[in-house]
Amino acid sequence: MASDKRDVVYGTLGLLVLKTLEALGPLHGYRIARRIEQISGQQLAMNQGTLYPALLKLEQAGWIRSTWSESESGRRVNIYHLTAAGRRQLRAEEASWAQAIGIVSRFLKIKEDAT
Amino acid sequence: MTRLRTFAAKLRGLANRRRLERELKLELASHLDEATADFEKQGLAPDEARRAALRSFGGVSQAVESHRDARGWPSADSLLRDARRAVRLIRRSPAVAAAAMLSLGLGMGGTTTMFSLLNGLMLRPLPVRDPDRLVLITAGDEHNSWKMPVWEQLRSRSDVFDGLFAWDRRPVDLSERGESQPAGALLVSGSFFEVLGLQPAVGRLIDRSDDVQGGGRNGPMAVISHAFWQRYFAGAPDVVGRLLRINGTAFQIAGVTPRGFLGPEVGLSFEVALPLSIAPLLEPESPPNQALGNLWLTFMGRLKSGQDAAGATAALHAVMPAVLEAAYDPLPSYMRPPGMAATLGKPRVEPAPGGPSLLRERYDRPVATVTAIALVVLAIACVNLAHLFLARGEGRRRELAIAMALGATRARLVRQLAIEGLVLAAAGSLIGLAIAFWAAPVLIRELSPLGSATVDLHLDWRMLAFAATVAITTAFCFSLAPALRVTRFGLSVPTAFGSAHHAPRHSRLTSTLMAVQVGLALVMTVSATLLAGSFARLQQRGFGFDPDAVLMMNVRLTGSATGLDDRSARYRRILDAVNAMSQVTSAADANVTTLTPGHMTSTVSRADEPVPAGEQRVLALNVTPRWFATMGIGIRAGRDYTWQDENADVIVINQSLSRQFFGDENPVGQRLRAGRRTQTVIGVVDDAVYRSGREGAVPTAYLLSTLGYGILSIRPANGDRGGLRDAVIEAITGVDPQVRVRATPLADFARATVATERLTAALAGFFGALALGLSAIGIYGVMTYAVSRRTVELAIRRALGATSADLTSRVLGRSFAIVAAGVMTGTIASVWLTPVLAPLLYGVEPRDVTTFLAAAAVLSLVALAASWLPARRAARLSPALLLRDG
Repeated sequence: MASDKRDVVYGTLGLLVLKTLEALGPLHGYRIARRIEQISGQQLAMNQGTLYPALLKLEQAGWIRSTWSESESGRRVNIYHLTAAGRRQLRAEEASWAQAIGIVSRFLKIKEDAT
Repeated sequence: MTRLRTFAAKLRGLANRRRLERELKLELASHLDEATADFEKQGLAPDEARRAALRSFGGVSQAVESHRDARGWPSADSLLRDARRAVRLIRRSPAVAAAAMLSLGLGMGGTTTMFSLLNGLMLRPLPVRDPDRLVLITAGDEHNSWKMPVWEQLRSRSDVFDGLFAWDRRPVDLSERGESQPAGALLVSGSFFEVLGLQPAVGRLIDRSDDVQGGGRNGPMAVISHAFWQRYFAGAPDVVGRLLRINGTAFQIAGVTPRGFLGPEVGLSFEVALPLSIAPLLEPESPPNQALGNLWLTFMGRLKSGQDAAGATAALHAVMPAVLEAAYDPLPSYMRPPGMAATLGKPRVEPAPGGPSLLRERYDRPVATVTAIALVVLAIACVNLAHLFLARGEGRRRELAIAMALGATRARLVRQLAIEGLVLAAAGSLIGLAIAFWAAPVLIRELSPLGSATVDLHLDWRMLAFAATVAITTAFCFSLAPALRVTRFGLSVPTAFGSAHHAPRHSRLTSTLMAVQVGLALVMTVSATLLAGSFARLQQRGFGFDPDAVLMMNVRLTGSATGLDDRSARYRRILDAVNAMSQVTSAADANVTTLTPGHMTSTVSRADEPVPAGEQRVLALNVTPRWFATMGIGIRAGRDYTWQDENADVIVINQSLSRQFFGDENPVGQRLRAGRRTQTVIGVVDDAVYRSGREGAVPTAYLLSTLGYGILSIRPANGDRGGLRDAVIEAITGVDPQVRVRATPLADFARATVATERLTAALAGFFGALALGLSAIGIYGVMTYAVSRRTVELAIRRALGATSADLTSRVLGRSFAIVAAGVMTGTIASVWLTPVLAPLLYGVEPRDVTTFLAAAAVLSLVALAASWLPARRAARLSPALLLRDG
């Protein structure tokens, strides 16, 4: 694996999952994992196993729900859907991320100006 | 909202553990299959694709584990698993587990029993409505009780509180004739049950309409206690309306008090509750005013909402002057208590959710002390368990190291070990509760040899909370430290894979624990010895007479109210009849029951000196002639009273009083002011104890009793008290049929005066022995373990030429150093702690050197004896062992 791959920022996995489900609709675990890796342009290294506790937490919070179904390849898989509460949560987190990024980048600019 | 949803989801997760587990497995399996298929599409060979899939997934078991943790709470789910695993492990070594649970159970049994007493006596509120708002109204130490006139005035001003009530208690007699049938009566104000907020079990309770002289509309009414209803009426449902003869007067039963209500005073139960105002009906031989005047009332009130004790005090102080004025103004001036305005006028109002209690006042210190002692025993038991866990943990180091290498976190392992401790502690605490259930009532019986104390000891949330706290705390103490120790591998996990012999063979923790145990045991031994010594001294000291040689009889006159002269003539006739019996050496009457509290005092001073400024009160007894002969009290100088002294101003004093006032002078013929009269001393008698053995003999004045009180003391001619009882009753009823006679057990009173000391000494002795035994077992266990760990080393020494004496002294020396350290710290701790015992001691200094030395010697001997066996085993080691084990 390339050394310039980044670990998933702690605590953001949930946000990535929610966004993935919003963008692509209901998916099963493996597809979610693959999708996160693809969208990040293969730049995020993720132990796919860590996805499952994260999925469970999102489900417990009521932001996603799961149903058993069949995958395209005919395997029994658990399909995760975004719920209305999940959509609201995603909006809120997107906003707070945008804000955080804005603040941090402004700081970084200041630093550039100073040097 | 989200948090709530998560909580609910986790609860569901916990409930559907099995299904979720199955689904997770399925889900992960299909994930891996999908991934493998993907990799295959990219051109990898099937097995390579599988490996790549596993690699990109990361640790499957970690994923499963953290999924499990997230599913319920990090612990809740695996706690159950750990507990089950712990039970399995414990069951694998039943003998060790049994020993552990037994020593824990004994330790916890002791603490739980003592806490049960503490709870019953001090913590448990009265089983009434809102007990936290109840207050006790007292006026200084001398005026804990109030007189009827004050109550009559105060009750009309009860708006100071949200209700006020008053009561007194009285021994009464339920018999029809002849031998009396004693019972305890509660004389209660009409507001009593209403303010307490009690509901009847059957019928109704006494209310204001009953609390009038001579009884209410339906005549005198009585309420009976639940226990009395069960015992006396066998719980008959139609008990209401039946008649109960109390002191000769017929009372109608109005109802039964609720089951849990044992009376307003913890420790004192009652059989019947009667309205205050019918007191004259209980003393038909005295005028009504006198009967009401004899009442000594306890006042309690209920705070209004928003009112606190300070506010109530202020409100009460505002009305007290008027109350006292109205109460005492109509009475002759000598009835006014001295300094009335300063004492009665400024009563204290204190929260009393548990009601007042003599028993509590007498026993709070002994009970608290023994509770502390029991906690120490528990600590000692804990140390044993800690040793056990440490030893077991060392044995499991390899297993633990492997578990850690496989990814178990240290926290997880510590938790698992701690849960084993918790399971053991829970079992121990169940044993403890069982012991308390059995032992606490026994102790209450021992506390009151007269059998009067009843304390509510039923299991309540306080007991359960205590048991749980003790279990958790002990489990923490004995399993956590060892767990932390044996899981400390640091970077050297692999070394732990090696031989178990690499583990430190005698850790500092073990030595420290052992020394602490010895120290604690020493503190216990010292305390127990001090308390036992006090009791022995009290026992030896005696009373100045032999309680077993005297028969005491209470005679109560019945029949209509008659003049005092007639009354004393009747008593005199009875006394003469008893004295005339051939089986009786002598008999006398006195105004108090010997060896019970509640004696009279009198001011005394020398008549040839001015009246001293301060009051000097001495114990004063009213006795008939022959009292000293009956009790076996020697006459030192002068003579006993005779009936001819009736109108002479003469007095008999005891030696202490003589010494106090006359020093070495001859007291006979001297004159003393006693009370309002000046009297000539005609006799000096030996000291005798009338109140309590601990107090001992005090200066005592004996005044000639002419009234008669019906408290007869009788000295049998041949020492046979038992056979005499019926003969005396017959002789008394022969001369006066209108009496009730009851034998009172003087010997029991004598025992009761030292009941506290006896019980404290017995308990301290028991716990002391337990502590010693547990420590011995602990030391034996530790040394045995140490020797087994050192087998190889010792065998090598043996092979290199060490004699068995060398080996023995090696092991014993090690043990002796630890024991010596323990004895030192224990001695220091005892020097610091034993002064706490001072109020319970009698005739022994809290820092008695002999006791300290003896305790240290006993403990050292026990400790060395306990190390002797393992040391001998070490000495017998054969070098050949090396060939097998090395």
